[in-house]
Amino acid sequence: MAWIPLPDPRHPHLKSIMSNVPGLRSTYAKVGRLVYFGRMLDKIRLHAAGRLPADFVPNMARGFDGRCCNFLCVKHAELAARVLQGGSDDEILAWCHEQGGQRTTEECEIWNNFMMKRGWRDGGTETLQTRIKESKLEGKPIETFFDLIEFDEGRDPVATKAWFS
Amino acid sequence: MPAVPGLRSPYAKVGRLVYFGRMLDKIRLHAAGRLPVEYQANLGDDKPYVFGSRCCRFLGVRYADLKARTLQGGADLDVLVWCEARGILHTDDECQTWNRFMMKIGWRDERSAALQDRIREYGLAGKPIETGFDLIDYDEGRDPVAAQAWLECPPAGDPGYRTPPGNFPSARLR
Repeated sequence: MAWIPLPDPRHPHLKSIMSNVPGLRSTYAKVGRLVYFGRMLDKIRLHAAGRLPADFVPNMARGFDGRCCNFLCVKHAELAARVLQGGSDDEILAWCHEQGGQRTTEECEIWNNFMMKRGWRDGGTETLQTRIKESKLEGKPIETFFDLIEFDEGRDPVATKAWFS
Repeated sequence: MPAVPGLRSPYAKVGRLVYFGRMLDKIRLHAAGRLPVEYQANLGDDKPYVFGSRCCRFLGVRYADLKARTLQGGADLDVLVWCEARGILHTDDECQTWNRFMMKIGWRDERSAALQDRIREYGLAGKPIETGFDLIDYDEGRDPVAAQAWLECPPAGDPGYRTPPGNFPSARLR
């Protein structure tokens, strides 16, 4: 389902959620030690190929994309340019570390858990509940924004305990 | 374990950080001979997954140095400023991420099974405990769920503290 753009600038990623998009992987999927990074690369590639749904486009580089780029200390525009030069996900992650500096395993652990748990007991909780209703996903065991994206795109992260993968 | 006088909640903030104040309390109480023996085994930074160790690593200071500085005296914020000057000065975003990480440890992660074991060991089955912080608070007679202790609020008692300006890169981050 397409999302109606939201006015809340604190959560710009939310308005880009819609039904399953071919080639767009799960938020929980890891590249190297990081969740979400691969999904961000998918969005860049799909956009360049004209296959990223329009609802996603205004939010690229914002929301979770922005958090990921901040963590890696790279600019989204520069990352996008590097992605479109080609190369594997792992190669692009290595490039990010060259540009922005290495991250320790503990830093990755902290960031991954922050991302995976976002929406549960934090400043995004109320907004998450609103988005669940808007997406007509009430009744699903959604506790986080990652869960919301997954369920909205037809995956069930709770049944698979995707946070342990 | 009943409440320990002078030992604050892990949710309590000093400056931008949760847990830090509790760590200082433990240092001071131990030095004063008033920290219960059950708490003493996890003092220090040699056990990587205990909260005090995580806090020291995040700040980029050694526990022994922090202990010595704390016992020299000064307010909590003085000690935090000392840590930030000596160790790593983090961005607001990094502090927020770390706080959330700490507050949510035990929920949907590799500590979840151990948390359930501890709940039973402590005789707290039936309490709405979801995290390690919850466990500590319930064990010491506080109810963090009723208070929604995880919600952001200004740290009490430190009006003089100022968040370092701008969204600067921390010392370690380039």
